[in-house]
Amino acid sequence: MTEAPPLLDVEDLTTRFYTGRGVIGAVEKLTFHVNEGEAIGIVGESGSGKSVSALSILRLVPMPGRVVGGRITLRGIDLLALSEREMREMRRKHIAMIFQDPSNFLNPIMRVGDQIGEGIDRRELSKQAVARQVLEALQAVHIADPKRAADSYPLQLSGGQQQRSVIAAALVRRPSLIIADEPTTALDATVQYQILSLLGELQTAINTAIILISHDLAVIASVCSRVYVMYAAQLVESGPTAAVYRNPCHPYTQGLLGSILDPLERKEKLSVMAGSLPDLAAPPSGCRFHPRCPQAMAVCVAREPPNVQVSDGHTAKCWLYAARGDVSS
Amino acid sequence: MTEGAKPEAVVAARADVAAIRWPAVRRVQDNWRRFCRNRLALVGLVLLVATILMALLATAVFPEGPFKITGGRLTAPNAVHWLGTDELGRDVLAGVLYGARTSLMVGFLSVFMSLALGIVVGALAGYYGGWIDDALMRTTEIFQVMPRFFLALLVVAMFGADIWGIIFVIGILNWAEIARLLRAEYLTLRERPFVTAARAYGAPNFQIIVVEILPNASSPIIVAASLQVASAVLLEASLSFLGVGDPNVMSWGTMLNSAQQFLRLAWWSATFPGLAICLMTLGIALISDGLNDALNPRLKEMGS
Amino acid sequence: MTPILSAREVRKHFPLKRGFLAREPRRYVHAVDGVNLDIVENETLALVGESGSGKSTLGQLLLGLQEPSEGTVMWSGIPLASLTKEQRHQFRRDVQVVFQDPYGSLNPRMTVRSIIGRPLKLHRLGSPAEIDREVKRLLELVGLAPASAYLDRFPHEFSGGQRQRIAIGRALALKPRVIVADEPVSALDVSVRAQILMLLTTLRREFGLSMLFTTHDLGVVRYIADRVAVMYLGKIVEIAPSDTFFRSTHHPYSRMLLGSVLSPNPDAKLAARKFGVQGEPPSPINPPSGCRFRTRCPFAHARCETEEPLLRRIGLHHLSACHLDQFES
Repeated sequence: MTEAPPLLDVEDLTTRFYTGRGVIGAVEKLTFHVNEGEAIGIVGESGSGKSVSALSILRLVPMPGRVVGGRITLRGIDLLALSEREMREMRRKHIAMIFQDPSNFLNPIMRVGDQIGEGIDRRELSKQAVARQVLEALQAVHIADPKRAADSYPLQLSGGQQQRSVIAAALVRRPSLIIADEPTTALDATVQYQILSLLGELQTAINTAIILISHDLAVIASVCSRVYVMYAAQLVESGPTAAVYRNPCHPYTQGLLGSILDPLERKEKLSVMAGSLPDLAAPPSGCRFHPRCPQAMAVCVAREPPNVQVSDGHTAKCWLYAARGDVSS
Repeated sequence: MTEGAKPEAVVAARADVAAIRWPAVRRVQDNWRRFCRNRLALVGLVLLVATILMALLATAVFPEGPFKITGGRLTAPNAVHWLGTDELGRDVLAGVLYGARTSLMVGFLSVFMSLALGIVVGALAGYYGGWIDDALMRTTEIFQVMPRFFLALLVVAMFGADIWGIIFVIGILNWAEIARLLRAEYLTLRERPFVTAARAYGAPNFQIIVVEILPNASSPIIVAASLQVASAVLLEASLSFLGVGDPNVMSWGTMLNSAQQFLRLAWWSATFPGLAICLMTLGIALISDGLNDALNPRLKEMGS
Repeated sequence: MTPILSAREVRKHFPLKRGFLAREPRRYVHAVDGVNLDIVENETLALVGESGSGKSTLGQLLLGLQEPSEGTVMWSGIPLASLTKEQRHQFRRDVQVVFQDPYGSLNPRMTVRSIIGRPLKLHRLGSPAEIDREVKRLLELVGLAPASAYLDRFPHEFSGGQRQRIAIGRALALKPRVIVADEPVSALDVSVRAQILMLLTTLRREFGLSMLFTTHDLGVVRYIADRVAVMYLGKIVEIAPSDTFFRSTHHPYSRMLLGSVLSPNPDAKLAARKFGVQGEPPSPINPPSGCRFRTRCPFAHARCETEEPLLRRIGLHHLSACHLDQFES
């Protein structure tokens, strides 16, 4: 079966932070891809490297960090080889990013409508046409009273409305890829639900690919068809969301799923993952999860596990599965 | 397995990069190390220590004091008088050493005073807010709008030139800045959960102000206070230069005042005291900068 | 049996700042607007609500950290306003707090030894040596062993989960009867959340504590609560024992909250929800007339606009503030 080439192809991405205290490996050899119009999720906790990966794709890693290895190709274009100017053009036209805190993106002294309008290619359009597009974008994100929202300043809007405005600003640029980093973490549950529905809706409507980053597997599962699980700067499991949920292979994924509290069923016993996240400046030897893994074996301490193909499209970086299945790396 | 005491490396989105946790190190040692890595700050420290040494050596080297006439008038630096003599025949080196005592005294004592006043006012205003804040801030503003130099001149002119009076006046002029800075810190810090927690277990206000909040608010005032030392020294030197300093106390400014007329004949009588003032205030300014950098580390300076 | 803490018709209004020459009447934020609540022995009461619900303010009122604008807060039957000095000391030992922010709730300039020891020292509960022993015991109680490894270190050297344990240790120092936990796990990573929740439930059971647990996460509520109270715009809209609440959820807002819970289960897709999640919490400055939820309620009708529904009994120990008895789905 020949598949269309992926929209975004990331291979062995490695990003490090060079600090006065030591080198922190924030992302180690991350490999993933996003197809056109597809929604994928990257799930991980603090220090997993999920946010830094997103920043690496956009080449916005803050000092003292640097992308030190790997390839990132968007529709065949090597993003790491572009000049700063070309990269800016990429960010303007093809990739949009939505952050956790919308006030990080919105300029507090500019009206929301003007900020959204900035993303529109104004060369051919009249002022009214731009204004119309802005209103359409705001309507598409189901914001209450789009005209008033466009005339407001960001701080006059609620968190949910601000986030909708940020999504609208991303929409008008008709990006091929939207990277959303914890877009709903700071929002109320009912608003979160609506924003995630909106993202799913928009994805189908304008056929944008989405990379959704979150620490919450449930958030990812509600929008994404495939998921990548990160732990301590590495990819530990990947596959279709349904497969990973039904059959989590890596003990970390199992632990994550086990600690989800579902209000719809009473949990008597909570499965608790012992230990805490490792220090990225000096990560554990071999498999980084071994100090916390209930199934750790001798080899896990000694050698880094390979990425094993457990089933179609489902891989896990774990020695438990290395005996059977294809070892892909 | 129990949790080890390893901190997380929280390396997430841009905003979180600033929160990278470091391995276990005492904060003071941490700050000191940062300070020492800054070469300019160390230079400043050397200069200040030199000034202190000068002050300490004054009575040892010149037990009769700086006003004793020990040589001919306006003699150039030689083996007996290392820095030469002034227009009355007094040893310039003696003047410089005793002048160091004066400057240090004025600098540090006036700042102690401004800190004492400023901390009390700032903490109370920032912590309590409301009408206390309003009243105290209006008072602060009155002191802030006064033209410092002219006020000092006025007070000295009215009440006579006395070194303690000068210290007092400088202290009065400087406390307002400290109060403002501290108030700003208190306004933010009092909202922090650890303060609410202290109130919840019944800590009285006094304890919260002094024990809980003050140590956290100290960084900006340390920096401001160190700069104030320098400005106090300069202010005193200026007053002495204009001739309204304390005549019973040897001051570098007084020396400069007398040396004015003889600048072309006897460069040493003005140069050395002038150099002393420069180096001392430069040293303090460098230390102040070093403290600022040490107490507020910026991430980009950590890159290699 | 006197409840440990109770609120009677408690209201808290925050005046909004006006300009000096403003002529309109002063506006208020009605953070808490008429709440009756009891916290009894040996029970975990979960207070659920989104932003603007007033749950945090209510917590502060119950802790005596703020004074109600109207109504009374009582401790062991005595109004807080009329406590003698001695009683006030007792009260401060009896009711303790754990905050949401593990990074802000510990004084960065104090060692762990001081942080936990200070309340003991303040209430003169022993000689310095005895206090030291007690601090060590508390650290081990909350899972930070060996205590000597933690005593002389500073908060910034620890992870979020560890700091939260320290905060819990501090709360337990004075042997309280009630702990007010304000979103204590919301700021923690998912894998750490379970650890802290388990710690709290264990300690609660071991010491017979009561907990007022504020949260917006219904999954956590299901795991930890004996009783559930839902707040919306400053009022309690539903209150019931936990099982009853989840089995026979009544109030439309509670249903909406449950309806917006995300599950990683791929069979629970966002689209297939029976209950519409819509709207945003309105501003607490000008709440809607009548029933405050009517602007988002799919079952709203004429009576809801004119008449505010009061909490009424709809089942055993089950109160709900809604005009309707039954709902068609």
